[in-house]
Amino acid sequence: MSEKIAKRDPRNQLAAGFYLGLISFIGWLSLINTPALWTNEFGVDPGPELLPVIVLTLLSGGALTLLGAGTFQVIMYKTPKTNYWTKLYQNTLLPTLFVISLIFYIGLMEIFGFIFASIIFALSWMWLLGLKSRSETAVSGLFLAGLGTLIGVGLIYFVFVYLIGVPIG
Amino acid sequence: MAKNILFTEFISIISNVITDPQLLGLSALGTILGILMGCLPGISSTMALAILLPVTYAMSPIAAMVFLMAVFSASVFGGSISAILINIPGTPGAIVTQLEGYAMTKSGKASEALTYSLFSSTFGGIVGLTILILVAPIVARAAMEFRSPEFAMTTVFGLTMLAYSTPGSTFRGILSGAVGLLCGMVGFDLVTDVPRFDFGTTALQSGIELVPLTVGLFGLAEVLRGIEGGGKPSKKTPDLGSLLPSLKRVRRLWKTILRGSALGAIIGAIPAAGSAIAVAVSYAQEQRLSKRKEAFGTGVPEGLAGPEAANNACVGGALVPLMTLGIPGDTMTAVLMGALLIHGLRPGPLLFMERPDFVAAVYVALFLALILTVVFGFLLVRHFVRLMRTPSHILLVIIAMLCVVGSFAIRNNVTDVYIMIVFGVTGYVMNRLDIPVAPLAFGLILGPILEENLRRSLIISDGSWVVFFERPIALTMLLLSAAALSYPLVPKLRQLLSNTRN
Repeated sequence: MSEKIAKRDPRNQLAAGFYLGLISFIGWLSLINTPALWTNEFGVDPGPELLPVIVLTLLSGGALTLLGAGTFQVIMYKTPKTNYWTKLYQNTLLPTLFVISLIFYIGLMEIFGFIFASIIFALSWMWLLGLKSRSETAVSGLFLAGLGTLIGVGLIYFVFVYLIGVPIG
Repeated sequence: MAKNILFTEFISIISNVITDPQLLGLSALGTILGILMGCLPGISSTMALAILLPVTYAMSPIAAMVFLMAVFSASVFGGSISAILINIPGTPGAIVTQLEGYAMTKSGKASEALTYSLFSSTFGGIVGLTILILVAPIVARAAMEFRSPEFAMTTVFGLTMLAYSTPGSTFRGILSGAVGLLCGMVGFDLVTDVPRFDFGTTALQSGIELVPLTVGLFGLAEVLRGIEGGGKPSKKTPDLGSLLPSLKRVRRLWKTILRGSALGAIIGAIPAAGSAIAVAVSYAQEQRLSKRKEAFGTGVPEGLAGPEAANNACVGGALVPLMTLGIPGDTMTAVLMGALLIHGLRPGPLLFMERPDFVAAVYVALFLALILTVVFGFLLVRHFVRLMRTPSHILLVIIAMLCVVGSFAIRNNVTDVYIMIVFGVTGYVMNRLDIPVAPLAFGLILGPILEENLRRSLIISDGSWVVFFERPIALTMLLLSAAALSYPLVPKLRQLLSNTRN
C-alpha cells in the first residue's frame, strides 16, 4: 500500500483512530475490572492506578481526536476514489498465513522438537516464497530451499542449543 | 576525578579485552555479523541488534556489551555497503550515502566508494567515541544533581523527543508511546503488588519482557512486510576492483571527514536527533561548501565521505544521553538500553559512580569495534558482497525462526514466543495504519522509570504536582517537552491565521 495514498486519505485517520481506540477501550475495561486498584489503601503513594489513568486518558483522547478529524474530513471534503479499505487488506494473505503457520510451528516444536519442526516450517516457506518470486523453478527452488533450511536450522541449533544451552532440542 | 577513574579503568579494561581471547573473539564475531546483517537488504541495524540480543543472555554484562557494541557499530558500515552497491540503504543513516555512493557504483567506482565509506566511517566513529569519553562524565556529574522530579520530567522529555523525531506524525508517535507505556505497566505493580492489565491470566502477571516486544516489533513485523508480495529476487551486485586506498585521494577529503564527524557527534548527542538528521545536515553542508554544487548526485566523493563520517560519529554521540541520563537516542540505542537492563544495569549518572569499569568497557568495546570494522571491512567485503546475493525469502524465513527461538530463550517460556508474535502482528498493523512503532518500544523501556520517579516525587511532595514546576531543571524539561509537542502546530496555526485574515 502506498504510504502517500494512506497519508492523504482521511479514512486512514479513521482506521488509526479506531485501532488506538480499541486498545484504550480494552485498557479501560481491564483497569475498571481490577477492584484492587481502587481501594484507596496505598497511604502516601498516589497509587498504582495513577499512571494507567493518565496514559489511558491521553490515548483515548488521541484516538477520539483521530476519529473526529477523520469523520470531519470524510464529510466535508471529497475522499480519493481509491478504495482505501480494500487497499488496507491488500497483500495481507501471505503474512496472515505466515503468522498462523508460526503458531503451528511452535506447537510442532513442543511435540517433535526444534529440528523436525524447523525443517518442515523453513523448507515449505522457503520453497513457496521462492516460487512466488518467480525467480526459481520448482526443482531449483526446492534445492535452494533445502540448502537454506540446512544452513539456517543448523546455525540456529548450533548457536542456541549447543552454545547457549536453550532447551529446544 | 570521575574522568581520572574512568581513564585508569579504560587502560585496565583495554588490556583485559585485548588479552582475553573470548572477548576479542566476541568483538570480532559481532563485527562480522554486524557488517553482514547491515549489508543484507531488509535487515536494519535495529533488527540485527534485536535478534542477536537473546544470544547475549548467557554472557557476562561486559562480554554482552563487547558483542552488541560491535554489532551496532559494524552494522552502520554494513548499511552503507548495500546503499553504495545496490541502492538500498541498510540503516536510516545510509539514506544519503546512496545518493553519491550508488552514482559512483554506476560509473564503475564501487570499490572507491566503499573505501571512502570505510575510512570516513572509522574516523567519524573515533571522533564520536572521543566526544562520548569527554562529554559523558560532565553530563553524568551534572545529572548527579537530579532527583525524582528531574528524572520523571527528563523521561517525559525523552519520550516526547523520541516521538517527535520518529518518521511520520508526532501526534501518532505520542499515542504509540502511550501504548508502550501501558505495555510497561502490565503485571504486578512493583510497589503495591497489585496486578494490572493481566486480564486474569498468570501468563501476563510477570509483565511483558523487552526482548519479545522488540523482536516482534523490529524483527517479525519486518519479516511480515517483506513477504507481503511474496519473495523478491535478489539484486545483482557489481564486481569490486582493488580496495586498496589511494591515500592521496582520501587525504583530499580530510576536511570533509572532519566536518562530518563533528556534526555527527554533536547531533547524535542530542536526545532522539538520530543519524538520519546528522547525515542530511552533513550532506547539505558539503553541498553548500562545494565548488561544484550541481555535480552532487552524480557521484561526488565529498557528498559520500561527509555523511558517512557523520553517520558513524552519531554512534558515540547517541551513547551520551543513553549512558548519562538513561534516555536512548534512537531505536538502536533503545535496544542497547534493553540489553543493559536485562543484565541488571540501569544506565544513568549512578552507573558512572557504581560501575566505572562497565562504562570503560563500553568505550573499549566501541573502539575495538571501529578498528575491527576496518580490518574485516577490507579483508571480507568481497565475501559480504557475495552473501548479499542470498535471496530475500531465504533470509526472511531464517529471521522468523531466529525471532521464535530468541524470544523463547529469554526465560525458556513459550508465552514469550506468543507475546513476540502478538507484537509482530501489532507492528505490522501499525505500519499499515501509518502509526510509528518505535515509540512503542521507547514507552516500554522508559515507562517503569517514569512511573517510579513520578510516584516518588508525589510521595515527597505530599501529592502536590507543583513539585514539577518549582524545580528549575524539571520545569525546563517540561517546557521543552511542551515546545516540542506544540512545534508541529505552528505552521498549521500560521496557515489558519492567514486564511482568517484573507
